[in-house]
Amino acid sequence: MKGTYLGEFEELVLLTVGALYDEAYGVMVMEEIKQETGRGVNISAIHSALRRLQEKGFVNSRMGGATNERGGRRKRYFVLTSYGKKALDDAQSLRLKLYNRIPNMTFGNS
Amino acid sequence: MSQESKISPPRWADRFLRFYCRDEFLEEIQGDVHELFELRQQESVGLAKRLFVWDVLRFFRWSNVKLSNNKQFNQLMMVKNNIKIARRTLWRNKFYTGINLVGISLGIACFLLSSLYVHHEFSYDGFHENIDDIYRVWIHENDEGDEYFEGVVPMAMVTPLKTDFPEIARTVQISDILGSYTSRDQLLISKRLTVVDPDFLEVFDFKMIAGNRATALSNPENMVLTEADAMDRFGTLDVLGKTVDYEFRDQKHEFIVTGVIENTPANSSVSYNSLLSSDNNKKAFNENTLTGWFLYSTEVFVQLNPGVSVPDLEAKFPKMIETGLGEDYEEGWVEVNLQPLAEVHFDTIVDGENEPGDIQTVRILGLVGFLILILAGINFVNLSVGQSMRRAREVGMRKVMGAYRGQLIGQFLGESFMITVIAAILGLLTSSLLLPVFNSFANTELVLELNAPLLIALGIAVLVIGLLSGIYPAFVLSSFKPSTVLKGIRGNHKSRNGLAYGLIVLQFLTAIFFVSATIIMNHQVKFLASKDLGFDQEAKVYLRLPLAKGEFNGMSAIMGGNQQQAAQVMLDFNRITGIRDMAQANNYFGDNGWIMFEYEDDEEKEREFFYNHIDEKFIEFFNIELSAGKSFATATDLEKKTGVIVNEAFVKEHGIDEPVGSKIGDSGFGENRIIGVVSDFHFASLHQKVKPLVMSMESAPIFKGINGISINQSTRATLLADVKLEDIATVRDEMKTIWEARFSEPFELFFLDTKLEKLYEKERRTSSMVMLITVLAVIIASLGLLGLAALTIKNRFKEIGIRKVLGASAGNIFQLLYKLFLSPVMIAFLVSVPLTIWVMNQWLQNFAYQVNLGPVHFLASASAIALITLLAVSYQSARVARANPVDTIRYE
Repeated sequence: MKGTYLGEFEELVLLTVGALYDEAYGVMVMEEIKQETGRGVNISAIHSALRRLQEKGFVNSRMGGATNERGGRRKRYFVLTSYGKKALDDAQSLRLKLYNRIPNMTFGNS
Repeated sequence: MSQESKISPPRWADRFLRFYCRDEFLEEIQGDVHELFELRQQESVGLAKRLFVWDVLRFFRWSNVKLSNNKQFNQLMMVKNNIKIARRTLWRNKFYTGINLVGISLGIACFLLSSLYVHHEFSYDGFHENIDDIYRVWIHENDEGDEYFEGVVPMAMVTPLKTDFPEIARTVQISDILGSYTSRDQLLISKRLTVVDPDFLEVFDFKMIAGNRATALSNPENMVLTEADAMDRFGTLDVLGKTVDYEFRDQKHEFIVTGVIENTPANSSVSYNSLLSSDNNKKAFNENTLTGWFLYSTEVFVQLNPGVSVPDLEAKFPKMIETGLGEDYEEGWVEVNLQPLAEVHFDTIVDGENEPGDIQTVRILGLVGFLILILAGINFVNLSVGQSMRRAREVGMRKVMGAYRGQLIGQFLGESFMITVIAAILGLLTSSLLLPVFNSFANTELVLELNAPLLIALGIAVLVIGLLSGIYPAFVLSSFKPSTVLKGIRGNHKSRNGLAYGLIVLQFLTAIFFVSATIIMNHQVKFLASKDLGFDQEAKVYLRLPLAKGEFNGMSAIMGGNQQQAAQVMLDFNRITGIRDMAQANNYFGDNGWIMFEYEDDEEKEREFFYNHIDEKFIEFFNIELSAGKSFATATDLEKKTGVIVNEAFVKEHGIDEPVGSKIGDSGFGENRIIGVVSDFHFASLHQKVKPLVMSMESAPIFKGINGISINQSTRATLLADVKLEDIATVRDEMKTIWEARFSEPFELFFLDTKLEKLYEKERRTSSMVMLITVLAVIIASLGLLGLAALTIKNRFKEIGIRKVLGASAGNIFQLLYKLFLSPVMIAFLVSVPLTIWVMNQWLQNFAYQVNLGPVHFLASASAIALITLLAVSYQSARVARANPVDTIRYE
């Protein structure tokens, strides 16, 4: 199933793209992840992940318009595709399914 | 926000990003990193810049790297292709590649070692921040034609230098004294201490490991220990505030440790031991030393104020001398001069406390290192030119496909650089392996550190070898015309052979020269060591007795006192069974030379002779040959008082016809009579001819007649003993017990033969260094020959096959190939002979007693080299001579 597999970090980025809806570009995704999870990630890692997600078809991208920010350079915005949404749903349901099978009691030595 | 702040991210990083990044991603990536930078720079600009660089570096991933540009892509492909081709060619010709690698890495190793040495020699004293303002004070003494250049000056000069000259910012005396202390296990240990002015620590930038530079020596009770002394006495460097005691001039003194200073750096021409302040001068030196203007006792350095003219300052010194010397002052007799600290290390004229560097050795070694590097390069040139025909087709093909000449040159240069870089890495490893050997040969303590100078040297080596060895093949190969080479027509390669043989001749010239030089040097050093010195040196030990205590009036009395004391010690030593015989004398063999006396003869001519104050056994003890008269052993009491023994050189110089019974010198001397003449034994080193010598048991008559004296050793007596070597340990212990019952000074026993060997230490060192170089040069030259032989034979494979078919025997084939290679070796040999004679004669000038350069030296080197040539060629020829002509002719 190579190609549809969703790594942990990829899933996080994909979720963030979905949550940000129309505002998702590199720096924004990075900031969001940092804010939500407290996880410091290098910007280059975000770019790689986004490009991989696009290759797998989970996201689409378009170039934004030029603004006064960042020396007039355009941003590449990413949006979740329906295929991407489905992948997230699958991951979610798989997780729920397994989660629900955990008996409602505690184990181990605590 | 960004409009207001003009702060921008590091330009180079931005440019780098633009350089590598694919155009399609550039905008978004650049945009993001710039946006982040703008955000971050509100917090901290520096951090933002660093993070920007970090981000740019992190973006440098394969997927982001630009490959799209068509032209650049093509070039990148070509580079990759060239590297591949180079790798394949080198791999296919393992033999030649191996020869090149070994040769060049040896060359580079040699070059690195020599540059390490050269760099060390030139780094002397460079670590003092004020080096340009620091000068050594030295004295030029002109005593009616006898000139002396003294780096050690009277201590009395220090005070006027400090007070009378506003140009001088600081004056520092540096004088060593011998102190001793009793260690915890009750051993008496002697240590040199250095008495300096407190400014010493300010003028010089020696590293303080503990303590305050400004105040460490401000008190006479303070002491700054060297690292080594601190470790010796306390086993730790944490010694501030501890007390140490040292005994000097028969008194015990206590000091408080206020600092720890590094040991004298290896590249410092100012040397020191643990320091005490010059406030202790009165305790450390006697009155004469402190105030005498004739007693040269201390090194003095001054730090001038910036901008002071040295000649103007020097012009003021005569006045100081005049005041100091008073009535004894004569104009032009004593001159005080300043010498920049930077020049001290290589100065051989002024007699300083430290052995000066030898600029000659430095130059020679630097040159030789470079020479060996070039020798290694020559191999490379020869082999690649020889191989060029093999690659002609490749060149033709490349040209047909549209390669420019420049590209081809680039390709071949690239190949040679590739091999050179690999060899450089191997060379670095080799030199780190060879360094301990080199250090023991050169008597240095060099360390191989990957620092800037070393990398620069390595860079130079790679550049020189890469260019030198790459450029000729590159231009030759790239000049081939595709139409001819592809048709298989061989170019005229006579000129190329000419070059190859010229280079081989040069290589062998160098190799033979070094071999002959090594043989001659070894011969000379052996000759010195084995030369009959005219006296027995086996199984002799000696020890120097302390000065006898008591009041003595004059030198002669002092020497007499010392002699008496020695006689008493000898009585004690008589008990020791391991001692076969004993004698005593004032001077011993193997050091700077004996006492020199000057006197004016009746014709008012200045004359000089050497002198030793001996006892009645001395002549027999050393088995010195008497050529006339008798020795003191059989002399009457009167003869012992007034008799002198002279050597033949003395008789000859003074033109005495009937020496025995006549007087030495002229009317000035006291009552004396020559009772014996000894043959010229070598009491000084073989660098000099044997000089006139006088020996007597009573020095008073001699002292009466002299007007000048230069003491090279001391007036102390030396006790000489002939010991049974198998008992040496017990003898030493027994001697020590007796010694310690008498003296508080440390007991030190020396072997005479070791001391004598030390005289030729420098020559032995040079000779072993040259030997090391020779080995390298010979290895490189034989490698080159081996390669060239293999190549020539390969190129003439067919020819040899045809010759065999036509009836040539294996012997004929051998003969053919030997002729080819022995001729360059012969030429090299013939040229090397006059060169070697000329250079080695210069070196032999250092000795009064030289070996004669003879055919023997050259025959040895010639046959060694010829043997190597034969071996190298035979090894290659045997293969082809034995081969079946069918295979060789078919060979394509």
